[in-house]
Amino acid sequence: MTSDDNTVFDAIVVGSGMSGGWAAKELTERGLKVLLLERGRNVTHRVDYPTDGKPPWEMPYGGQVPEAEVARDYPVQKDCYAFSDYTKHFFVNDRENPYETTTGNPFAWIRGYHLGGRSLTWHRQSYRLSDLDFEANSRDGHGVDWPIRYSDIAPWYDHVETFAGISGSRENLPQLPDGKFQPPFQLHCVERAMKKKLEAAFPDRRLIIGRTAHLTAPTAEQTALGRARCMNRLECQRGCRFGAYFSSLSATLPAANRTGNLTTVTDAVVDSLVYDAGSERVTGVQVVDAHTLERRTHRGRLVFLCASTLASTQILLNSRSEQFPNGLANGSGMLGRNLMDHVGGVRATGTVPGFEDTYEKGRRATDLYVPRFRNVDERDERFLRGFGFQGGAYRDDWRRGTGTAGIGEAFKEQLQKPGPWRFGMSGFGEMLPDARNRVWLDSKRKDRWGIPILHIECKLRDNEMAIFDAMASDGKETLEAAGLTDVNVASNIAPPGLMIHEMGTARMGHDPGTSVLNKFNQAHDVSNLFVTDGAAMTSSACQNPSLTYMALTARAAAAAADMLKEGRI
Amino acid sequence: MKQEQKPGLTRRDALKGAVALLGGTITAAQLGLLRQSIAAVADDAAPRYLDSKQLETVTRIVDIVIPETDTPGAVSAGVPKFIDLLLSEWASTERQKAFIAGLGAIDDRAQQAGADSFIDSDFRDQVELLRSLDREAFADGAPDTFFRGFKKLILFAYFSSKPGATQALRFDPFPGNYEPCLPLGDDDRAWFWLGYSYDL
Ligand SMILES: Cc1cc2nc3c(=O)[nH]c(=O)nc-3n(C[C@H](O)[C@H](O)[C@H](O)COP(=O)(O)OP(=O)(O)OC[C@H]3O[C@@H](n4cnc5c(N)ncnc54)[C@H](O)[C@@H]3O)c2cc1C
Repeated sequence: MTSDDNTVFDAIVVGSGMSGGWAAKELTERGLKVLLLERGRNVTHRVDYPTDGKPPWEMPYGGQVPEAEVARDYPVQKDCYAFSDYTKHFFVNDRENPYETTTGNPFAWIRGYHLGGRSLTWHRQSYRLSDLDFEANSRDGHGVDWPIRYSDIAPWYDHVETFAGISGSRENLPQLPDGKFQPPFQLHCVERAMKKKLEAAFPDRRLIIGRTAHLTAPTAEQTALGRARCMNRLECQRGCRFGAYFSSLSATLPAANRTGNLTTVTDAVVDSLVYDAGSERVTGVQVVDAHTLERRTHRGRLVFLCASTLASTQILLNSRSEQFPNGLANGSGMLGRNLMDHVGGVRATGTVPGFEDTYEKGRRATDLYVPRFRNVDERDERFLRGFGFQGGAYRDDWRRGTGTAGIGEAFKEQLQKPGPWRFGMSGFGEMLPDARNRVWLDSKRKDRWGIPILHIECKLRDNEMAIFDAMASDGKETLEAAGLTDVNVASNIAPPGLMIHEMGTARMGHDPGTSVLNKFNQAHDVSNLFVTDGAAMTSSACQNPSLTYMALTARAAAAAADMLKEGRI
Repeated sequence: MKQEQKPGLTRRDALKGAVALLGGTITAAQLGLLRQSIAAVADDAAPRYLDSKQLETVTRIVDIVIPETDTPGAVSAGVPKFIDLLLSEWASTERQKAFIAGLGAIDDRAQQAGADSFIDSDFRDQVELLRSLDREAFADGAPDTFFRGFKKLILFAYFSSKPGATQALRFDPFPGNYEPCLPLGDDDRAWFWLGYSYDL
């Protein structure tokens, strides 16, 4: 497709990552003819995972990206823990994808522009939000009230978990609702011993197995899509030939493709949406060819923006008309505002005494989770909202040698053996919605596709810093209560963005005067426009958010398909 | 390239080193390993970044840090040539400079002790010098030293090599299941894992 295409699709989905894959699947399965536009290159499942299964000695530099290349092309992406020579092709080139930040307020925008987006590189941790989260804004007055409650989204969590395949354990925690789980990965006995001690000392601090988007007992539906059980390699971010973890490429796009209703176009950079003032609707999207820079439009009866939080907002801000001079569907003035991520940068580690004679086999594809315990039952005076910890037990390996004295035979032999049992965990804290944390378009600078670049101004404020401090002190206390010695807390505040849970900027809400989207992720101002990625989030909670994007997307797609059939949009 | 021009340990040097480390005795098996180790150096093509004396110095250092034992050492695992490759194609200009300067500083220390250079000093003195550098690098409150970074590089290069990962350690490309709480057992080698990324 190189010139204007006169086909009118039932729906255009922008972005093929975590949320776009779901939009494509749900809309095509409801019989809609869907055009999926992806700015990046095509990635074929299995075929285009060039580093899958490669040991370091088959990599040119043992898995290290040449330093000059890092400095030139990946000054931002390099700070993502998963960035290496094994994965760099799933991260954007920062030089080609510029953005600005306000001096003194860095923001790490970690991205992957290719078919599948960051569903290929994510860490697969999947947690439900609860009413503690959906009621948070209305309870303490920050942000606006979510227009939905847990009961609205619960059936959609069921739906996406069943299809995606989430392994986990049932725990009956009100702040972290159970889901439709595949069998959980097992705790190590070291972790079980820690759990016992911790839960005896602090009954509200639970140590549970992580809930992760890995197949442990594939269903017939998953097997039919070519997906298999997790092999516990823990090399997921290179792409998995078994399709054992959920991604657009392993799961949602194959499902959408088999309906016969999906047309996917890659290398199609969406510049803006086309708005028709007469009908008060979007009629299509403006696309720039990623390589030829040729511009064209595609037409659709509805549009799902799933380009990821900031990219979707950038597209809306760049869609200006007489009616919407400050960005499409921005009647509220809230477009671009209330950017959030999670508070991070606290890592607590310690030594687990004993267990020298036990080891393990396999690299378990999930760590453990300590669900939120602050501000659940009792009000904590230091801060609003809460945080959780993610981590696990491991025996020190050869890497401990880089931090200890020693050379020669004895040193070598010592490093060949496993070291002491250790446990490390990192905090993920909630960030309050704040209208001052916002993005706008730079009117002067454009990228190579002619799109004005985004300016991001985001700052961690008092409540976030109080959460950061509490994560450090609670991290220490938690590990000590679990029986660990030599507990050490490294706290280096992460710049916003680096937790890779950026969200907000086109929030959902009841009131068209203060929010961009309604309870079905439908723009208040434009009835056939839906935004279902992280931009829609009204508050951030402290759980990893992608499962919620999936559920919101599936829910919105079902609603949109109904509205279309009923002639309401 | 002709055999004579190839840099690296000479057989005599290597024997001298091994005998010194072993306190003057050497078994047939160890001699075999030593031969492999020498062969690994000698069979390679010319260095890309280091000059032959620098490569010889690196070779000796990595051999002292990770010697041949009942499993391959850093030399037979190809670490010297891998470090040379990293310096030539992977390292930034700053790192290249710092590396050459760092090797030079090691030579300076050897000269202060009366030798012409590190590689020309007595094997026992070489080991002693590296021990001092290591102690200094890991002393409480010590600043980041060249040797500390060098050791990190050596450990990475060695343990992520095939002999390092599969012989010195155990490597499990397709675990299948996750089996917690297994007894450590007779084979008490640790599993190799590179991590998500390794910060050199
Ligand atoms: C290393 C890592 C670990 C993570 N771990 C977790 C985790 O454990 N749990 C969790 O919940 N989340 C995790 N995340 C975050 C998770 O990946 C994101 O929340 C999720 O992918 C967001 O989905 P999305 O659809 O909004 O965006 P993406 O998955 O980023 O997809 C957006 C797609 O839109 C395309 N696009 C962008 N702009 C345009 C345009 N103008 N025109 C056309 N197409 C466009 C992009 O190329 C991309 O393919 C992690 C992320 C990373 C990188």
